[in-house]
Amino acid sequence: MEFSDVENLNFKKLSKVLKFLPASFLLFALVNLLSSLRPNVLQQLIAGAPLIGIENILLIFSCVFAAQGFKKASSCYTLIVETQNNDLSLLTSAGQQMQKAITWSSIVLAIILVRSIQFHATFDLMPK
Amino acid sequence: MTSFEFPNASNVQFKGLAQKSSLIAIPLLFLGIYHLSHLVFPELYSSIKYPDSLAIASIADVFGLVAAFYFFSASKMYTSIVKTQGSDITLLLIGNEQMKQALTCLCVTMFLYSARFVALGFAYKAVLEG
Repeated sequence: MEFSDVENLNFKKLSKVLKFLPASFLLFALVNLLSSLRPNVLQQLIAGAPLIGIENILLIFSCVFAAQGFKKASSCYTLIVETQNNDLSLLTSAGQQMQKAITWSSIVLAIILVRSIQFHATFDLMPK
Repeated sequence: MTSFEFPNASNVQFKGLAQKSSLIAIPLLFLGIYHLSHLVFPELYSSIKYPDSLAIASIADVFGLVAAFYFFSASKMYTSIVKTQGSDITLLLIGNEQMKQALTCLCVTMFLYSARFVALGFAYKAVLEG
């Protein structure tokens, strides 16, 4: 099966957006990695939940896996546009990579949410 | 637009993608509501005055909420591909368009969260020292 020009344009646009996502996730991972290597104010604040713990390691790895998934999905969508056959199987592969990337992204966001609650809880208990 | 029906293997994949799109929208929604509620109703949570940079940083949450909306919309479209007959390609194009918008907003949100993470660290350090 071969997709038409209109459909290929749609995939091309999606592929273009997907190319930027790994950079955003890797930047977030880098910021977190630097914060765990060099103790800063955030680590001093969240008592009992040091950011260098499992939570931070999971966050960094999730960011890397999400970035990898988005990159692979982008490559699949680019291949759909560039190649003449196997469009359906490439679409299935792209969908699978997207699923993986979105799952890892959900984990990243869930950790940010938990961390945010911890962070605000620490500040909200501070005296005026 | 050609009338086309995806095979079962593709439908399974679209169903999975729809579920994952809904899954990611949930933490985005909670993050946005949680952060913005701090901004709108600070007296409910805090005994200290949060720095003004928190208001600027909340732009990330607005993008997050928009991303959640688009993820839900894309999920609905991908589910329709599985459920309906004959208009699969049209629905795929609409779903991809919604997914593109969702991913653009997610990308901006992640960049802004990185900036927020660094900026709030400095801001709160100043609060502690001051």
